[in-house]
Amino acid sequence: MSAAAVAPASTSAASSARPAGTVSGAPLRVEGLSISVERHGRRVEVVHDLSFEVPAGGSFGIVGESGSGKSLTLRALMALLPKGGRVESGSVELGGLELPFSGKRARADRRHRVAMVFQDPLSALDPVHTVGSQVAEVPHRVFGRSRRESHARAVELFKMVGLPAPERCYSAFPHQLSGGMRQRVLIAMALATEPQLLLCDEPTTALDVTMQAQVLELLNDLRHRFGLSLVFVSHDLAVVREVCERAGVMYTGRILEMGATTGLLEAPSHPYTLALLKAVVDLDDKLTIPKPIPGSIPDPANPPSGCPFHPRCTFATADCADRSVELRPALDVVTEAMAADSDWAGMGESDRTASVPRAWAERLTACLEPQRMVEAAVANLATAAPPIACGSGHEPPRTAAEGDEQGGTRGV
Amino acid sequence: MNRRGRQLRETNRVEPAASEEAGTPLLGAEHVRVEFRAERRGHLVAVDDVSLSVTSGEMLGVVGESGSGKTTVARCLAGLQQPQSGTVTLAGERLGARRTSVQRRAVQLVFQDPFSSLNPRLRVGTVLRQLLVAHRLRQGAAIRNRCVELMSLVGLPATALDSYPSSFSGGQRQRIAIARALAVEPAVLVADEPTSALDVSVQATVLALFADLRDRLGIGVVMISHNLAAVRHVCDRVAVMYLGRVVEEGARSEVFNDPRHPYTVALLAAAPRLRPETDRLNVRLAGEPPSPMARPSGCEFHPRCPRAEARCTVEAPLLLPVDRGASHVAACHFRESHPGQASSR
Repeated sequence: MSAAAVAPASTSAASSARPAGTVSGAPLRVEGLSISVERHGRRVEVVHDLSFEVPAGGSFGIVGESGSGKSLTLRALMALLPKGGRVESGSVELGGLELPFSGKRARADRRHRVAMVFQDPLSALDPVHTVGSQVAEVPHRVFGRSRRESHARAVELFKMVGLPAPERCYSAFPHQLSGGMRQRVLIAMALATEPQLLLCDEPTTALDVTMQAQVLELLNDLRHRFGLSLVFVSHDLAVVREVCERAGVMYTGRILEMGATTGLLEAPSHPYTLALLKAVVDLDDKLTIPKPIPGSIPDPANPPSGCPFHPRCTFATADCADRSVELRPALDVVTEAMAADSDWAGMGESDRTASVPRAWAERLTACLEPQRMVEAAVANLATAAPPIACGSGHEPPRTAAEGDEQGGTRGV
Repeated sequence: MNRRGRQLRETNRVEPAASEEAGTPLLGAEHVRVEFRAERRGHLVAVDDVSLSVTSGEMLGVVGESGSGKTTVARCLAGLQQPQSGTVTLAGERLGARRTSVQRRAVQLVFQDPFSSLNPRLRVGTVLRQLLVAHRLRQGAAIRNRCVELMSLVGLPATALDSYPSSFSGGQRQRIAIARALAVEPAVLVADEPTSALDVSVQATVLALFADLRDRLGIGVVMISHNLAAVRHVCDRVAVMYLGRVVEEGARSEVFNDPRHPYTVALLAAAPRLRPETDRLNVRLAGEPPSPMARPSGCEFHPRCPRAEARCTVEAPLLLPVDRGASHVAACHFRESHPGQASSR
């Protein structure tokens, strides 16, 4: 059950400013967020100096492997850090108002403004109450509506999230619904608080592809209808692409690269993003063999010096272990490097950067040597396989492609 | 006891190479039907008339939504579930309700969640040793050597034998689970969603391991998955299941490049992609699969099918070859034309 639903009702300055019953987005600004957890009696910082912004009605994706700190970041935004977790520094502003991380106001200020959809809908719902009563509890307790009104509101929300036979769903218990329907109930519950910001923690990982497509479509639809701001966490780049305009790639508690999602996937400016893309099994990619990222994620208690990815990075130079990393505009770093490096200057700017797509224009990168990534990005664009022709009618004979496909996957 | 052990060791292997000519199914299910009794409401047909088979050195992918019966089929193949009717055969031999230890060893399972399928209180080496001892596969020093060999087979260092499962990541645990399955020298691995509990970045390595084992050991692999990309990457043949039936089956390239059942097309359309797709069909499946307790009449897919016509509501299509050849079959009245043409109607 969402935190907003559990806490007793009280009016906060922010919510009373909005007319009741409307849902609309607000810009989110996260600045310098650092989170530590307690491990074996020691405090270990697991998220370092994280900053990002989501415009009102915008959607931001955080992509990362398990252990990258993406879920902790989301929980900090919701002020729901697990025991032992603590925000060390940083601030979160929603619609110009700062949200505190602890104390009485932490929950109260979020109640009408931030809601969260969890990964596993079965454990997020109470098994002994009907799903309808769990959703109706929100308008009843948060907005002080009558039982009858709350019931009607829950049914209305069920209709909004596309649950079939909303009246019948109201009196169903969680175990009687399928995974996709449960996730719709959770989304309805999140919307019941009339939030400005919706946080999604891998909401489709527990679902089938068909249900996943439906839930992603629903989230997109709701976002466009109400202008909700969205922060979406996932380990699946392809899923993030379906929902988010912008995304950050997170590794060991740092965002290593940030920019428009499509550009990020087409021409990454950080070796980690590239490695992640190369490691993923993509449905369209029949020619390339996925390459695992060598090594493993470093222990957060004992992080490598310099760039956190340098021990596993194929592009790393000796410098990468010494210099500290920060997110900077990717094109600036390339231009600087070219000015300093005579070899590069000799190659001529037009040869190299002209072919890097405009996607890099607004890209932020934490890579210290992204000029090497220019080549990689160009190569990546060149090898991008055309989408498979599923159901496109008449096609040329496929013998050659089939041969490649066989050769590509065998002998791994 | 000792003599019996030796005999076992000599005759125990269901030799993939020994299965007469190539193409003879190593493990197969024929017309398998599984029913579960539902409280007060009669029975539920989870798997209906399913025939699937895998040969040695082949990987068969079984895809479908949850509730399509794919896990139940896997359990039938592994002998964990007894079908109401139909048979399961191993190297041409019909398997009875109780399998012999040799038959049991020949088919091994790899489970979905490597966090719950490994005993947290046993070292990896202990798990493997117990298997080798219980099945009398090795003795004395050979036990340790075999354990090291198994670890290298799945790409883990020998030092992993002395650690507990808790010290490994998800991908490494799945490797351990695979090593455990391989310890008894099976002829077929049945993997039930082996990568869905793993990060996308490590899924590829586990899939590559299955492909590698298939090629190196010549074992057959049945991979149950709802992840189409995973199946496309490693499987030689693919069967698509819907509501307890196989609706399409064929070689990988046939099913993925030229799907003939609208359900296969819809599954492909639903998968998220890394790149913008130009010709992805906009076939979004509305709603959920119907309950197996209340099967639709005629073709069971017709309520969700964009191509459905009056005929589909009354006449159930049979699983028949599409135009090209006998290996690609689909259960659709319109299997001879490409479903892509349906969108223009």
